[in-house]
Amino acid sequence: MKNEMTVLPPEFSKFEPFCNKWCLRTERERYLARAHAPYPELVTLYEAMLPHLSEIITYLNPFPLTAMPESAQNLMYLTFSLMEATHAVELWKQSDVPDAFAPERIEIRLAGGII
Amino acid sequence: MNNPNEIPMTIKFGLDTGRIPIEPNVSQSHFDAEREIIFPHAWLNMGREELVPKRGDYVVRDVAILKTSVLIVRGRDGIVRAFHNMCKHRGNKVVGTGVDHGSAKGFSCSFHGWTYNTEGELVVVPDEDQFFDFDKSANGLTPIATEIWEGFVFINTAPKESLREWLGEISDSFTGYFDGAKHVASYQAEVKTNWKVVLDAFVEAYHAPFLHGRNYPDALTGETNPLCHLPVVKLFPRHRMMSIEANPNPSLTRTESILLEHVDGVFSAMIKPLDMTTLPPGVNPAKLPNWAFDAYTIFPNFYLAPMRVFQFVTYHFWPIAPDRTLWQTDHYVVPPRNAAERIALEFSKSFARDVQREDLITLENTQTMLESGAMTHMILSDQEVVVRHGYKVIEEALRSGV
Repeated sequence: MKNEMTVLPPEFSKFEPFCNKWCLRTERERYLARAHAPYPELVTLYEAMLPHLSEIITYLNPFPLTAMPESAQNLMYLTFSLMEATHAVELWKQSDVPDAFAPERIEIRLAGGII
Repeated sequence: MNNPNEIPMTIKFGLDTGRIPIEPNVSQSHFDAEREIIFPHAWLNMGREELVPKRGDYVVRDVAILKTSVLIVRGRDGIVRAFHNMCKHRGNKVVGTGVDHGSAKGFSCSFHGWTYNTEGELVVVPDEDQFFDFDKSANGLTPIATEIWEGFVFINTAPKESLREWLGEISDSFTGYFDGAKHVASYQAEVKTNWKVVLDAFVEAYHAPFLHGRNYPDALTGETNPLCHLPVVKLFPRHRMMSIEANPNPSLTRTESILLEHVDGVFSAMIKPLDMTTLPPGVNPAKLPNWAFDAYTIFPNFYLAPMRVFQFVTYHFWPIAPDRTLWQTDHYVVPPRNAAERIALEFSKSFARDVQREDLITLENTQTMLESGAMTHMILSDQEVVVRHGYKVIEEALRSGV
């Protein structure tokens, strides 16, 4: 469910180039996007965003999870994708777990939104 | 053994120390015996009561090992019941294929319109006068015994004892622990292995530093327990449990370090502060200060794991065929209160999901080789005592009934 109109809060507009690919609403979309992304793209996302993770959290924390402005939600979804990417960059040095069960074979039945 | 003065757990529990036959994991006849002797009389967990939170809510589960489709519904009276998903007329499914949950006032069979209410009573039979000696009130949906323990729904097609008797000592050990948790993830996959091969991987920690070494460099091991020895094992007549300890000083990734400035725990480094005095007796029974999680196997195929970081995780290992299993895991957490906790949760559950994919591929490789016939027995260490107990319980049940 890519959203071409995705907009982030102005403080984080520098991450907008990532939104088209990574502002994804379900875990399954984020997980498969990460597993099949070229590894350098994950490194780029990680290096751009991880240094700002604390700022992102501090910005988002005051919003109630059930009533976030759309721009904050978009930032949250983008950050969820960053979380997927951190495992690849920090643990595996490749896009998916080495020698693992094929990602498509896992069915994710509770894909959850923001909360 | 590390300490020659220490009696091995396997001996202490009075278990045999010999090799374990592979035949139960590859043979059709063993699978058939499990299906005929164990599963029809076992209390089988179907998930949490919250699956059907409101009156009229229902779920349908195909349970291959019972050769049936199970309809679980919360009636207008608020009671959760299970039925064979089968019309009493000529046996069609009352909830058809392709639907696995919903909310309904009743269930109408698509074949001839027989309609049942949410308590399973037959309420409408079109052209009823055409039937002979027919009593609607005697032809409700076929019930399956259903009991609830601490919010978990169990069913039994031919019970020989109550759920409380089945759970034994465990039944009073968790009072209230599972309440209030939020169900945040459910993963499932059909795995090409015997169900016991999958289960076995989750009841020993010997594999953690090897198979999961790149994901858990030292969170479960560390200097004091480098090979992840089990600090606590308890064997019940049918069930069994082990506690796992965390390394209190794990090395942290950059992401973990940042997240831990905002939240008190992440799944990959199980160091969250915890007030042990609030835990019921079944959770971390030895009250180990560095407790990470407990793994309870509720015989035969339900696995319940209270955790330090997540509130609890469950696994179900549903046998389909000697070499096929439906594996399902569900994560339940204290509901996240803010974005920090929600982001940390996404980090934790995606991590846990991918660690399990390392297990699943290994288990399929294992099954392939077990079926080669090139070996007849497997070798278990003292650290795999819980695996050993599992086979003992199954073989005893097959010999003398459940």
